[in-house]
Parts: sequence; structure tokens; C-alpha cells
Amino acid sequence: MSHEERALFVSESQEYLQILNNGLLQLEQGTDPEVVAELFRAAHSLKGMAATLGEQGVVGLTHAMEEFLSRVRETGEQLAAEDLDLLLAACDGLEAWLAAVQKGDEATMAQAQEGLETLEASVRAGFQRLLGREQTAASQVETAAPGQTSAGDLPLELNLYDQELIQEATRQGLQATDLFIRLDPGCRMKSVRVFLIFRALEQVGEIIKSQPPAEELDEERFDDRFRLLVVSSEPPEALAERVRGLAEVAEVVARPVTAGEAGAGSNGAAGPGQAAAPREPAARKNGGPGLPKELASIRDNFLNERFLRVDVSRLDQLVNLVGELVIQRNRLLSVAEETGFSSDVIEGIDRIATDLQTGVMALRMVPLRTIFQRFPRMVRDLARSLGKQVELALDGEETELDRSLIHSLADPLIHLLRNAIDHGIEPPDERARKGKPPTGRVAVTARQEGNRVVIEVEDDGAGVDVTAIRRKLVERGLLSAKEVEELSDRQALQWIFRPGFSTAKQVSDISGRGVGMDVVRSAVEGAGGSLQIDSELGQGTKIRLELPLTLAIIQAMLVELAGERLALPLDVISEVLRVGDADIRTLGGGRVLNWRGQILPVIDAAERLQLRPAQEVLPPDSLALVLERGGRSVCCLVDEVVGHEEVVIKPVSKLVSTLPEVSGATVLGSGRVAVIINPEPWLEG
Amino acid sequence: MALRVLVVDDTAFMRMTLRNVLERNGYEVVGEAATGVEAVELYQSLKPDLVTMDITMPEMDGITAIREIMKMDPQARIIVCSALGQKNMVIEALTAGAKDYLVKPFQPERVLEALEKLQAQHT
Amino acid sequence: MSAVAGNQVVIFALGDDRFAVDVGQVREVLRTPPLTRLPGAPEYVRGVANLRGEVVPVVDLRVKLGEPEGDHEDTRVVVCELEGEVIGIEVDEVQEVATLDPEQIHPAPRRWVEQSQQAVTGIARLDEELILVVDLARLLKTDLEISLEALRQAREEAGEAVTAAEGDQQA
Repeated sequence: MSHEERALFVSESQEYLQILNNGLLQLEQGTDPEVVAELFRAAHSLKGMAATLGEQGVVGLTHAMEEFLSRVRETGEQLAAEDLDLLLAACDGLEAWLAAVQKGDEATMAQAQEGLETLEASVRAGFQRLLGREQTAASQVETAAPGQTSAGDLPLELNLYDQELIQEATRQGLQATDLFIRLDPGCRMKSVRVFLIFRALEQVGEIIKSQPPAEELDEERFDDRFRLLVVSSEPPEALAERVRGLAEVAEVVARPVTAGEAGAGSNGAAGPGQAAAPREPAARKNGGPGLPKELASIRDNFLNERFLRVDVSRLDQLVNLVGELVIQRNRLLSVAEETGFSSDVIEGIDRIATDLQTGVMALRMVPLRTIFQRFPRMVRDLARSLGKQVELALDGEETELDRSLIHSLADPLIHLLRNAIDHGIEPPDERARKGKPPTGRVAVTARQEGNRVVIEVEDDGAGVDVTAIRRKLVERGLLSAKEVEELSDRQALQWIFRPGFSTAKQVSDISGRGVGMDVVRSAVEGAGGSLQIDSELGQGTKIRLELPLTLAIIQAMLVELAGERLALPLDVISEVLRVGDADIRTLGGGRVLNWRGQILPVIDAAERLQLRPAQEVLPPDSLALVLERGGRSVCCLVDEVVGHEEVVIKPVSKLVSTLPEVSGATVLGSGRVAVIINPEPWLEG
Repeated sequence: MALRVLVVDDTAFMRMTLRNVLERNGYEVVGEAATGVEAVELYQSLKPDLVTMDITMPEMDGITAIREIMKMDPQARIIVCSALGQKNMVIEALTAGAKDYLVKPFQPERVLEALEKLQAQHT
Repeated sequence: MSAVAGNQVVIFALGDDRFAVDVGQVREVLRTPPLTRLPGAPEYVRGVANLRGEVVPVVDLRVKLGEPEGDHEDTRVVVCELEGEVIGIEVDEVQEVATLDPEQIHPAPRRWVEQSQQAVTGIARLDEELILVVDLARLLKTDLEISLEALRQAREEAGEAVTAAEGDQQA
């Protein structure tokens, strides 16, 4: 399999697995025939794809799942928890296999395949169990049963507008034909077959109506049969011949339609008599005025696909090029400024570069849904294994983030969610004792605030014991008793993000394993974000993540420090003060700034960044920047502010270790490199 | 006279599969190409009656190759071959001028049906 | 693996010592570009430079090999790749690209190959002088602590081995 094919295969399969996971969870609430059908299709599609690869293990398992689901589809019975566990376990097995395929690692793949065989056997056993069970709900299903081959249940209704159209066509010497078409049962990519049929017919006529409607045909929401109303100069039989001339067409029945008919499905060759009168087409009610809309939708559906799959590497290439363009634009602007040359050409290029950049960056945005959709399943499994009851509320899934950020965000979020359930939410009896509802609540919400995205994970569980944190800080010798006393509750709480600090009483199987909040923190900060916690003992915990919308290009302030130029993210800078005018004092061995009634610690940036030793006396003409993010602030000293520029963030080589403040580098308009500083470590104090 | 077919696919295995099916059923496979570039070159030199064209290939994908071939010969008869899930690309290929499509893994009877129907349409 | 894959080497100098590096390892050689200091980087990293839009760290090979820092006047940067990343190595001088005959190149003594973690790959006879063939990228590995002094010793020993072997051949 080529890299592209593999990528495509993996992403498609992941989508199907997601459908399976979500659908199975829905079945917990009761058997919905539509959901079962969707599940069946997903299993079927996976099977087909695996067959292409000759992956017998997957074919076997998905086939067993199909059998299972098709039985449920027939009987409509409610599945027991054990059935769902079984099918969900099968999904896990498939996911493991897929992960192995993605890695391309033979050993892991062999292992995953073995797992699939075991799973297949247990799904088959489950299927036998299912067959043995009483069929309670068998009677409800008949209406939905597929498989008839006649056209009778596919009425093609003609409204007044259609009738007028047919009359008009007849006046022009054209003929209206009702075509009933059945595809080969094994036909794959049915919608494409339909596309070819449409194309063949549109060469000689116009399709003015279809049953099911075009969009359902396009989405393959039909069995094998559909009907078309075609207006053409060719007689019905000639049209039928055209369709028969295409591959994978099993049956075509054509008959003429006249404007006087009440409904085209009512008589004639196409099917036994059935008054097509008031029965609405199942899925769609805006049958509306026929021709223009219908035709437009057919074309829109088939020709102008609204979404296009693009190889990510092509997109990244484009982003890199735009990055180069932005750098060159900046150079152009700086040259123009130096020479005093101004022209509408430069302004034009500036504007276009900016628009292009905005547009390209927007292409990289991915909704958080891609991560959020994994949560319901995870929460269910976790709650079950811990004997807890948890209700999950998700909000803001549509919020978009740069795709590279989405990647680095998935694991931290999962970790936070696990923590909330494992350490936050109490067991039902304990909750009852505390007078809380037995079912705990975990909410994950996302929203955009300015050019940052805020994600909050909140639970109504036990909360974090600040006293325990304080005690531990002293016990471990991390802080003196006096220092601990000086900490506000909020500051004390932030300590749980430090390496090696965890308040869980026991290392649990779930969020233990040595992976702590410090890992979450470094992942979030690595992505240029920040993390804060609020918690009230007995009431719950809220963790707030803030991330930049995009990583690739940021607005930066350029500052000078000990002869070097550095870039600071502009959004973190609240104010720039002249040191000579600022109220900076020495307090307990360090400097503080009295700023609008707040006492802020002062960071000598050049010293922190090891660019020069600490300054005994601050030059009055140097500058003090007030940095603020997420309610925390700090003051940092720089020699000079040089300007501000839109900078393209480039990674600093992995070969070289740096301070955590170094978040990347950029090439300035002058061609020189400037290091980009992430002030997060300073804000934490 | 046997119809002359050019088989285009980047995997040797798929080419072999198709060659076997076709040759067993009276077609003559006059050439095999593993990339879009090769396909266009071979089409020009071999002038086959039919082409089976894979979509995802290195150095020029199948869709681009179809466009190139259609430019040289608007009468070209090309069947596009795809994996499941490449619907949009198949539609693109058909819009570019392919006459029919096949979905992998190939079932011999479908391959033959597609070829026969295509032949019938144009004779 | 043979000491040198192709038979072309780039000869560079560090003070009075000359070394050879397989031309296949060298992406380009540049006059040392303007550098930006990188906070928190090891001492031997002089900074980062803009190489055609890429941000590339530049290492002072003298400092890396435990020698005092030079004056950086008219130095050159040999650009190589290490673990898929581009890195620049500042040397005093790049002298020539030489084409070697196979009999001019000999494997380095096993002890030195091991001790240098394969940074020393062979020894070449050039104009009656014996010079070490090094894998520049490997020479930079952070966990490799090898001094210029040690490399001189390696050259010495390798030279003796080569001379002995050549003597055998002639005998």
C-alpha cells in the first residue's frame, strides 16, 4: 500500500470505527433501526476495505459483526450490555489493528491480527446467544424490511409543477419517461454508478425528478432501486437501452408519463397499482417546485462536491510557502521603510499576502470534534470499570484549532478527563452521602476568545484538597512552611502541574502509571498554551486550557536584549513602561513593579535568558513590559522595543537543548534569526 | 481481432491480476504502466483500444493522466480503477473523461462486464 | 561499512590539524553567517543562522572538541545532516575537495571507531600526510565527549597501523 493509500485507508477506517463506536453507544438507549443500519453499513465498508488488503482477520471479524447487526436489524431487539461490550471490544480490536497498519510495523500487526481472531470467535459466540434468545420485538420491523424488487413501493409523485413541466415538454415534442432502475446487488460505489446513469441520460434529456431524491442517491441511502423522471426527445425504450448499456445495471423498466396522471408510480409497466397520493417521501419534505432546484441539487451533489480530501503534506507545503511569502513581504516592507519608498504596489502586495495567509491558515483549521468524539466512549468505559455513574456534557465541538495543535491536544485532554472521572467524581454511594446526585457530571467546553481558544474540563466531584497540597509541599521540602503560608489557594493549586507532584491517594490503574499533570502541562505549553486550575473541596474542579488559534504565524513584538533581537507574542503584552517612569522597588532580594495597585514580580529577561549577568542598576531608558495571560501577570525588563512584526514560527533544531522559554525562532525581514520567547515560565513565577 | 488494452496501476500485483483476467478472456494486454507519466507515454506509442487506469499513483496520478490522454485523443476509452472510499476521485476521473469505473478488489466478471459494455457503446 | 562511501572527501582544518569528511555528508560550505544566540543551548552551540529560510544551529567544533574558542575570523561552516536535522559546523578553514584512490583510504583501528562511536571512520593518505576521515555529524553527538587531543592520538595509532599494513603488502 502506498503512503497515500495507507493514509487514506487509515483515515477512512477511523471514520467508520467512529461511526461504529458512536452508534453502539446510541444502541444503549434502545434499538433504533436507522442506527443499526448505519452500523451495518460501517462494518460492511470496513470489510470491503480490508478485503482489498487481503486482511482476512479484519474481514472475518467485520463479517461476524455484520451477521450480528443484521440479526438485530431483523428482530429490532434491545441489546444487552454484554452484547454491546462485545461489539465495542471488537471495535477496540479493529482500532488496535488500524494503529498497527498506520505504524506499518509487522510485529504489532501480527499481534493485532491474533487479537482479531479471538474477537471474531467471541462475536460469533455472542451471535449464537442472540439467536437463542426470545424474539420479543420481531413484529415491529416488517415496515423497514428491505428486499422487494418491484417498483411498487417507490412512488414517483408528480406535483402540479412537474405536471406543467411535462405538459410544456409535450408541447415541444418531447416525451416524459418514468424509468425504474435496479442495480446489481453487488454494485459498489452505487452513487458513482448513479452518477454515470445520470450522465448518460443527461446527454439526451433532463432528469426532472428522482425517487429517492438526488441527495439520498448521492449519499447511497437507497437499496438497489430508484426511479427517475426524464424529459427527452428519445422514446422510453431508447432511454432504457442507454441505461442498460452501462455496467452493473440489473434491471430497467421504462414507461411513458403523461401530464394528466396523478402519480407516475400508479400503474403501467413499472409496478402494481398503488395510489401514490399523499404518502410523503420518507426523508425529505421540501419537494418544492421541481426542476431548477432538483437539477441544481443533482449537479451540486455530483459535480461540486463540497468537501475535498487533500493530502496534509500538500497543505503543509502551502503553509510553508505562505510563511516564506510573509517573510519576504516583511523584508520588502522594511526595505521600503528604510529607503522611504512608498507605493501602492507594495501596499497591494502587503494586502494580498495578508489575505492569502489568512486563507491558507484557515485551511489548516480542524474542529475540536475530531478529539471530542472519542470522549463519550471513553467516559462510558471508564465509569463502568470504576463503578461510577458519569454524565458527559460536550459543548463547542465546532470550535476550530490549527491541526498541529489538535494533535498535541488530544492526549492532555484525555488525561484531564480521566483524572476528572478517576479522582474527581465520587462513587454513587459516597455522592449520596454528601447529598449530591448519584450521577456525576463532567463537562468539556470549548470556545474561541480573541485569537485564543479556551477549553475547560469541569467536574462536580470531590475537588482538590488544598490543605493536602500545602502539607505535601512542606513534607517534600519543595517549599518552606512560611512560603507555603504565603501562597494563595490558587497558587497552591497550580503546584499539581509540577513534575512529580500528584495528590491522588493511590496510584490508580487509570491515571496513574507515572503520567501526571506535569505531562499535561508540558504538552499544552509546548503548543504555546497555558493551563490553570480552580477547585473547591467537595464541589468540584475546573481546569482551563488556553491555546493559540494557530501555531504557524503569530503577531510578535520585537525587543532588544543584550544586543540580541527577540520576539515576544504580542497578545501577552499589556503595557510598555519606561523604567525611569515605572514604580519599581526592591523587595526581599527581588524587584517588584507596582502597577495599577498590583505588585508584579520583575523579571530581568536578559539575565533569565543567560544573555548577560543581572543588572545592578536599571538604565532609566530601558523598558518594563507588563505581561498578562489567563489572569496572571508579570513584569519583564528589556533594553528596547524595536517594533512589531508578523512572524513565522520555525522550530529550533531538535539537536540542541534550550531553555523552556525558547518556543521557536523566526527569520526577520532583515534576514536575521530572532528567537521567539514563550513567557509562560515567567508567568508562573 | 482481440481488443488491445493498456493496464495502468502502480502495484505489480494489481497489474498482474488484471492481465490474467483480461488475457484469459480474449483481450490482448499490450502494455503496463506504473505511473501516470508512463501511462501517457505508452498511450501515445501503443494507441490501445482500452485503458484501465488506477487513481493513486506516483509521478502524476490517474486523474491527471486521464486528462492528458483525453487531450491527445478525445475518443480514448478509459476505465478508472479505485479503492472503496475514493468516491470523489472517481467522480473527478469520470468528469475528466473516464467512461466507467471499477472498484478494487477486482471481481473478474465485473471487469469483463465493464469492458464489454464499453465496447458495445462505441461500436 | 567502508571508511568512505564515495571517494571524494572535503578536507578541512582546525588549527594545524586537518580532517577529511565524505563529500556525501556535506550539504554545502559557507562563510560563517550572522548568528543569533540561543538561550540555554550548550556552550559549543554558537547560535542559530538563517540558511535559506531554515533556522539552523551552528556548532563551534573547536569548543566541542574541548579547545579554547578561536577568534572566528574568516571561518567556514560545513552544513551537514544529523538525525534528519540540518546542522552547521564551524571550522577554521575548508581547504579542498580531494578525490582519493581506494588504496589511499584505510579503515581506522577498531578501538578508535568504537571509542568515538563511529565518528572516526578511517584514515587517508594525502600528500604523504595521514589525516583522519571523520563523520562530522556523529562527532557532534551530545553524549560523545572526545577531545582534539584524543583525535590526534587516534591519528597517530591509525597511522602506525597503516604504515605497518603497507609494509606487509610490500613484503
